[in-house]
Amino acid sequence: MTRNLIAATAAVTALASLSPLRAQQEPVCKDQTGIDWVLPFEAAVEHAEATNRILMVKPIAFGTTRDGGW
Amino acid sequence: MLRAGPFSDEDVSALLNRRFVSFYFDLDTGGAAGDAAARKAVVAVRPNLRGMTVVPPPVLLMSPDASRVLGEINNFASEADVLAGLLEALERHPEYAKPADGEDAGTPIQRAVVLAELQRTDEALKLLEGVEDDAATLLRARLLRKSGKAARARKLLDRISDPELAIAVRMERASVAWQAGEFEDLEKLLAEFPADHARATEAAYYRGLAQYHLGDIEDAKATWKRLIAEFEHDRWAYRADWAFFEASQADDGFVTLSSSGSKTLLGRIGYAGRQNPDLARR
Repeated sequence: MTRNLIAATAAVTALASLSPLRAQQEPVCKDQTGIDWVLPFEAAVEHAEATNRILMVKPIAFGTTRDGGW
Repeated sequence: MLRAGPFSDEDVSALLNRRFVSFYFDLDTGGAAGDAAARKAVVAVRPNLRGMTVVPPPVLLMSPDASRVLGEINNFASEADVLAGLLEALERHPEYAKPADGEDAGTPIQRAVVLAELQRTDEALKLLEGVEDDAATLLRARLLRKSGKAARARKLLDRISDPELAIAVRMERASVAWQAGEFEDLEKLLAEFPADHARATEAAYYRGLAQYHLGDIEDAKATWKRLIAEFEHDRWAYRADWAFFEASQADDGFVTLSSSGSKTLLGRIGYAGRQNPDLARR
């Protein structure tokens, strides 16, 4: 397989795969929706300001669990 | 609700990861994901979330410094509505939608992947014209399928011969069958799927849907139950939990929240707000 095809396959796989990066902090570590959550809040704001991105905030009306559930 | 629906949708997560910074927290600062700083910032802009009993909060799209709300998406929104809300926010605030460093560089397929994540399907397809390798062909087939052009997608899939892409092609054929409502073909495509493959949970979820729509409700529930038992923390397990819950409802007594005190297989009290679109009759 050529190097280009390896890169292309990786790009296609990335499109279909689960998210590879997430913050290493409980309880987010086990959330597997595929979203690259950034926690805690200060880190999320810092990252949003550094990258000049809209901050997507999901408040949860109670019931979050230590294994990442909500 | 969002977790078993839009948030576990790959188009939604791809767009979020490409152009947003995503954060969640428990309004109860004593909760596992409690965050006093987040609560303070959110209550400042949404005082109605201050109380201890609130309606399911919406998704807030905020300025990078979290001082302003740029948009809101309902907690019960569909995948399409969430995508539309995110894209509208980017359109109205282009200052926060600029390409990241290096994003405009790269090979045609790498740039096409980025455009696809931004839901700019036509531009992605144009970039891939004339790129004659199997990975590009697979991506073109995927984009054509998403555009509703199943026949053209199938023709492209027939051209792919790279054995390393065999599973990806098989899953793309399954997606075409799902979209077309061809449930017998869907079940056949996903039978005996390699259990150790990264997409095994996705295959199990859709096999359950095939069984469900073919009328084999108990088989579907068994498939989803096995999926959840083995892969509790997986986006397809989240979706299977909702599907199992709804498939377990009596014909004459649809409920959105468990009234008996029991919980879903993943320990949720139920799924309120809308019926599971994957179980809707075609």
